[in-house]
Amino acid sequence: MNDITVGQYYPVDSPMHRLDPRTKLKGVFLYVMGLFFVNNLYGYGIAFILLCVCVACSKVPISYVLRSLKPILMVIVFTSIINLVWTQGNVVWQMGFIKITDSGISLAANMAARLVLIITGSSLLTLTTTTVALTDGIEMLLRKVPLLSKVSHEIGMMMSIALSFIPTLTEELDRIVKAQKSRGADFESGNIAARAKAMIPILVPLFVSAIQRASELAMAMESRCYTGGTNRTRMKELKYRPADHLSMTCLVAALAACYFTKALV
Amino acid sequence: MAVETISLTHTYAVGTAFEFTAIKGVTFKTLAHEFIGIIGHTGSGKSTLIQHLNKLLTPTSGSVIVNGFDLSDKKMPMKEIVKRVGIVFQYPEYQLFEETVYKDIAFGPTNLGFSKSETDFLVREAMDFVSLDFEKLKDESPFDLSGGQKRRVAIAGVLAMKPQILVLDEPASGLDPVGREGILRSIRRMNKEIGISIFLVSHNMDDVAEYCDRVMVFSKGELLLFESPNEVFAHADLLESIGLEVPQAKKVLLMLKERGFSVDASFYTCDEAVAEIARCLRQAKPC
Ligand SMILES: Nc1ncnc2c1ncn2[C@@H]1O[C@H](COP(=O)(O)OP(=O)(O)OP(=O)(O)O)[C@@H](O)[C@H]1O
Ligand SMILES: [Mg+2]
Repeated sequence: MNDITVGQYYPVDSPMHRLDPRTKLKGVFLYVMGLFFVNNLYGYGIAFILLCVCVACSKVPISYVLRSLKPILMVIVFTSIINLVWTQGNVVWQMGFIKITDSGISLAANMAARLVLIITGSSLLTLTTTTVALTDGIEMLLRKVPLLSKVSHEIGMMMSIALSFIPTLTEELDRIVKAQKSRGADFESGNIAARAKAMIPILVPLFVSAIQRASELAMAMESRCYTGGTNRTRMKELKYRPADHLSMTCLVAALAACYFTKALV
Repeated sequence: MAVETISLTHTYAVGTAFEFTAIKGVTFKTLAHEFIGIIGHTGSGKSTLIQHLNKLLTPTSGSVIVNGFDLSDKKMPMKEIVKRVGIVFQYPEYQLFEETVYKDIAFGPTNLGFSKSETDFLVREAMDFVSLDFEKLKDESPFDLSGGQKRRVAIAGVLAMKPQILVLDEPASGLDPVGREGILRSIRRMNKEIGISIFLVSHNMDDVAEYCDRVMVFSKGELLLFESPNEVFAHADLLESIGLEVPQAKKVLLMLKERGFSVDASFYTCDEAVAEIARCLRQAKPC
């Protein structure tokens, strides 16, 4: 159960951790967008170095950063294989009906590189930003979006509540599974139908307690006269510092460099 | 049934930044039919220990032996283990899920492969033991019951599996005084009448003093004491230093003694303390 780590914050103090969450959010957004314009080795090289510098600045151990790739490793391998064998082009290698083409190789390499960089980059965001800061940042950024500005606070609040429920529910799930196992419930054998049925003794109590918790929280908020929205002030105002402007400038410069590598090839 | 552990150690989240050893080198041996109390400050590893008794957790090192069988033995299927060792977790009412009380209590016995008529008998017996009215409640939804009744249904659900060892993690917490006494009395009856071995985790020293044959004292994952309540509560200073206390009755006796009354402070249950104070007063007052 402990493998479920959403918002796997790594608690150290680093320049990366101290950046404004908005800077990091915008940075990741730009980085991911930027990657889609890259199509050559030099470009990926620069993007890779940029990521390495960020990881180094974050003081998060490499093993932690790479761990985020584990769940999608299969996806990467699978898409690479599909791209490799399904793309038309000049055949460079053939065995039976399997043909591997030059454009297949380049497409597969492109996709794999992009996926790895995107996932690692965005997991660096969650590794260096607490969920509270993250939702604050999202809320502030949404204020600038025309249609969403009215409900930005509600969206931010909903996200932070949902995120804060995850560890509680994981714990609850663990408790319920153990209790039902002690009553002889068997989750490991039988066919799919039997296994789905075996989930009922877990899901019913889990939903009951989730709904109960949610309504208790709503009651607690209401009894303290919570109203979201316009006139709410906050204890920690988000403020851009020189480091934020500096890192944003560097990022944009690096991404521009990535883009113009096109001219080189 | 007798339970034995040999230098049992459990470490959570091995190999991560959150690695934590919850119990260290715990060795003990209990006898069949014993009523064991487990006390310790919050976080001292009590719940971790009891989850080893039916293999919900496997030891990081050391072993658990139930009635002569080593639980780490692969030949012993999980069903055989839970048939012998029943665990009632903290706040067990959160595990209820069926439409009716009857079905919920029957969940365990059905899983163990008891026939319909056997299950029916077991459900009746279990409900009777926790003082729930079978005819009145069997078709109720467990979600419509009061907190104390839900707790009883959950305990009955474990009892109906006919365990020979029953482990209860704070079965009486959060109940009113009548409710807690009712549940603890039922547990004592199971121990005395059917001879089930009991492990009772509790934060309430009075309950432990009243019901247990022997008491385990845990502190920071280690088993400090495992003796009769009389001997355990004689270590008042030690208990205090690890965040526990002695039963209320004993506290009163100790305070009286401190103020110069000639009471014997070795008693720890309420009834004994009353008798002792009465004796002392009678002696002190010349008639
Ligand atoms: N699944 C887990 N992962 C990591 N650490 C855990 C886990 N479960 C418990 N712990 C830790 O192990 C220690 C012992 O926990 P345990 O639940 O056994 O304590 P306890 O004596 O039952 O406490 P309480 O009286 O509060 O119920 C605690 O410090 C707890 O933080
Ligand atoms: Mg506990």
